[in-house]
Amino acid sequence: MSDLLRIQNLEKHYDGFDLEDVNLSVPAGSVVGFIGSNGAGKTTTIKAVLGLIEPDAGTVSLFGEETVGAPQKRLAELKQRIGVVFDTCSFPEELTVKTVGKLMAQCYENWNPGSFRSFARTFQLPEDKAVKDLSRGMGMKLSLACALAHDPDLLILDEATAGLDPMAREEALDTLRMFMNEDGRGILMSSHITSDLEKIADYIVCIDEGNIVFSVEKDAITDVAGVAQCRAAEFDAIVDSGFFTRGTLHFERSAYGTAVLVPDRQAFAARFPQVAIERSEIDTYMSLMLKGETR
Amino acid sequence: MKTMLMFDLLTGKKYLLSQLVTGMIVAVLIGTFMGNVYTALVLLTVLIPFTLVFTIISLDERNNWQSLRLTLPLSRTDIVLGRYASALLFTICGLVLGFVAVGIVFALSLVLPEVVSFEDMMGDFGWQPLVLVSVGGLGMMLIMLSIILPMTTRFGMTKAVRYVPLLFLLFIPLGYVADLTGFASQQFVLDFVNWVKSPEGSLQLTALVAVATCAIYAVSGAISLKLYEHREF
Repeated sequence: MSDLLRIQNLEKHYDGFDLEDVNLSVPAGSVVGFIGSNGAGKTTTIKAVLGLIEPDAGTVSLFGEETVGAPQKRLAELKQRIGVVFDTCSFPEELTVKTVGKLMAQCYENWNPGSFRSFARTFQLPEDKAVKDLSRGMGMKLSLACALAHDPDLLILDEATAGLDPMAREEALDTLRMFMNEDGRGILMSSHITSDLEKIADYIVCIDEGNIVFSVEKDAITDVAGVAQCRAAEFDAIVDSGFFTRGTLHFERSAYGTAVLVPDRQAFAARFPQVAIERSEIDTYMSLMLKGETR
Repeated sequence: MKTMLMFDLLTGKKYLLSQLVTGMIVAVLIGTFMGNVYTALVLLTVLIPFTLVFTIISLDERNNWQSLRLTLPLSRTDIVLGRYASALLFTICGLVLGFVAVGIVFALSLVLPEVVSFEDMMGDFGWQPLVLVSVGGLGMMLIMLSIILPMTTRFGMTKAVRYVPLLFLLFIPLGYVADLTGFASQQFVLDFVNWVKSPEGSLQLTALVAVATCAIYAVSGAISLKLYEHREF
């Protein structure tokens, strides 16, 4: 499976923030969820991919072609195959939905006006309504319609569903699922709303303080991993058992006991049948990996 | 470049209509009450591009539009050259509208002779001042844009507006020095004015201003290209 996007050893240094050694890829046919707290480096990484900032080191490849330092013309050609949605509807606010469609038609060789109109109808976007008069949800839908109407191979969404109500988010996810129905496409989706990623992502990449903390298949989190809720004695027994090699035990103590992140809940349950274990969610997995203690 | 030009034209269209109405009313009123059609001409040549270009540049920063625009299949060169092309087009548009205002003022002088005398205005009217005022207005606007555009290209509107007035303040000491030295009464200045008043002088000065303005605008464009090449968002 080829990578639509591959980031290798990406670095970008600012005063007070360093993006270091970031590696990430979006294989064809997959949705990669990019998570992390505010200021962790998600948007900086995406900006480097899109050429909005120049990396200090590392490489970014789109569809197998290196983009850092590539001729502008070639970069523009590669962008014909990308659709981008930011967390706000970024089009000039006085333009109408129809005019935005006209502008995009000027940009993209593959722009399909019929497809744009169809998205606008599906999303109930009135053609004559100005961008400034659209609600947040409608603005996002307009951005999504523009990102999809030129039939891109790769979608890059930066907090695109943030601030949307559950119904609007579900509608957006349905659209993304439809987009992924065609072979060879991919999505890089940065989001704080991990429940959305549980529904759609194939891989989860987590970044914290400019460093990738983990990069795993989503099923490894939601289907394989688990969170064990232990009493003090049980926790000590787990530590002494050697089940976890040094540096792989992530846990968090609370007044009610200790939550332990378990990479394979079936194997853990077989070894410690007396310990209560539950399915892990991306949120709890990330929280234990980032905030939990490590032993 | 064509795409970026279209972006600016489609974005500016709505503002052009509102500016056209207010600008035309102001220009016609001033031209009529001053009994001077050249004022109306130069006012629109400067006012229309100035307000439109600034409006469009300010929209770049709103809602992160300038970032999203860079994710579209446009090169940075396309964006800068498109912006220069649209600014030039708006300036020419201002000049054309200025001529329309001149026509309206003349028409008003026929309809309302008690307000403005057609004969008085015709007395001052001639092709030489008309050409000089047109090229002067056009040149003034394009040189102003040549100074402002590289700054907004590099820093964006919000930051650039802090420095633009300072830049224009530099011209005040020049005026003061000119006044102190009696610049206006120097013989070579008087000779220059007489040369400009001659038909050949008017044409030569017009050509000179046009060529110099184009050259300055082109240099400004080249500087902006360089400044935008590595700008980060």
